[in-house]
Amino acid sequence: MHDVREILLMAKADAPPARYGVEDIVAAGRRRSRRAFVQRVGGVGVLAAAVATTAVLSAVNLVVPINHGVSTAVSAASPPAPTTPAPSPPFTFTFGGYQVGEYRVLAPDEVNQTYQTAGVLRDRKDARGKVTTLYVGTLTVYQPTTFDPAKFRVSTPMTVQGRDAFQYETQQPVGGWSVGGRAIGVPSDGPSISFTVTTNALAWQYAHDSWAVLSTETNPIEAVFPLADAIEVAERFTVAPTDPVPAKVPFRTGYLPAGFTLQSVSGQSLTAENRGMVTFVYAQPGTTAVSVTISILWVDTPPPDAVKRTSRCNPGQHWCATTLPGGKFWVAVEDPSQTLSDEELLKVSDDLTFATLEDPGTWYPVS
Amino acid sequence: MNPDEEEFRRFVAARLEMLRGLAYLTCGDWQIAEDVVSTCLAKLYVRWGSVSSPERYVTRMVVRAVVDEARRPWRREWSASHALPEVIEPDVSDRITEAMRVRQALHQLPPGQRTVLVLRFYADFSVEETAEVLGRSPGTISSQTARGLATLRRLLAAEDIALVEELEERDDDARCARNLVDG
Repeated sequence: MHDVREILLMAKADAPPARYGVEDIVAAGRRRSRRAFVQRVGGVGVLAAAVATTAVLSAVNLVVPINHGVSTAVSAASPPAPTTPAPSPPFTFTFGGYQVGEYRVLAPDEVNQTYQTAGVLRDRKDARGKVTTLYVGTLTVYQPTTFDPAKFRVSTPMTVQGRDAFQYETQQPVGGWSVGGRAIGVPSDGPSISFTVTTNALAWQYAHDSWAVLSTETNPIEAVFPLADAIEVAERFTVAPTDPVPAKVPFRTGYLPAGFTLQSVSGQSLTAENRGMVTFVYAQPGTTAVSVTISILWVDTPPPDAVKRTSRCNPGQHWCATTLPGGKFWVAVEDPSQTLSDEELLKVSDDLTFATLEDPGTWYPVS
Repeated sequence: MNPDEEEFRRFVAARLEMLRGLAYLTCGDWQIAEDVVSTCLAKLYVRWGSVSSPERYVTRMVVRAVVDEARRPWRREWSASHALPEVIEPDVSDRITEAMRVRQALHQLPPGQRTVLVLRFYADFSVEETAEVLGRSPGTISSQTARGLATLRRLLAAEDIALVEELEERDDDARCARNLVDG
């Protein structure tokens, strides 16, 4: 006769030798801590790929352009009208990182035809002088004339950089979990509770009819970005006077479905402090209904003997994965719409040629 | 030397085997279990110092990750891409054949019942703690425990292995189990 615990111990009695020891796990934790200092997309890791992809695709369709033309001609009798700047070339970054007090606006590392985004960090020092860095928000800078501020006009009006600005506050239900009854955010491991958090967004014009938005994170612990501070950060924002910097891609494509071109870049480094992965979306211009999304992720626990490149697809799931030599990275090629065949996605994956992933200097500028 | 890291290292050394077993018993795959445990502990490293109860925290992460594994194509691929052969002893003794029969019975249990039994009887969690980890009500956990015990007892009996009733330690669950069997 056995009790349940004995039964369970018996079931695991022939455990294989552990593949990961304490030092392996500490090393993995250091890597994770270095590269993924907050879980921007619900946790750095494998699930993040799908979440981030969804976010990218949603964002591409988020903004309805209200006027793609240049500013209209002004008659001689009209008072001087403010000038709308010309749009920057596609897939270029037009501003750099900067610091305001405890806040650090990182250099932008996401860009598509409509906007660029950059993370906002806060380095908080406690009474003992220990600095804790938190991811507190996102700065989104829209191409001139592409942002429709209608949603914001119903909110609190104000002036930033001498132009109309609006503060928008919304309640968002999020999933999360709690420790000791205290909600601590949205884990990558599946929500267990639901709660509502307040999200703030500040929209202002950095030039005439050229909008930027500072939005706070939805994680309750990390949402320490008061409106007054957001206004300070917004007031200091400037578009860099130098030439726009082209975005880079860490691979060259060989095969893509007919008519597919780059639509979205998310990430410019795999070693940046707020990045654990990079994602690039290809689709036919004007739509992302069917797309090829290519993501590169770190492998948390690299196998010691990964020497060759191997690809495989999960039948019928419309995504393929490639493990790269060295075992540090793997590449996911997927079609979120589940339209393209496994064979086509595998061809995209197999025809990729990679730069040195850990060295953004070797990445290829978007042409 | 970083004192926080040393503390984390001691925590991992003390809990690693328990967590491996917990993950394996829940999912039935040593490779997935090891990947999940190492990933969850690496995540814990990042949050070390801000988590009030690291053991509870990481246990919850591990259980959820292995339970969710079937819904995670990314994790499946990630795990499978690093396949290493398991080292399993040849089946040469009665002890091992009994262990195999136990495993077979255990993994015929519905996943929900198996997870509850593993948490309650392997991790030694209370009904309330198990409910918190799985995000269910204590009543559901008691019911799942009772049903799981009844099912496991029946499955083990088919393998000629007897399971004692947990009368002293889990009185309520056992009573429920008897009612289910009798009823």
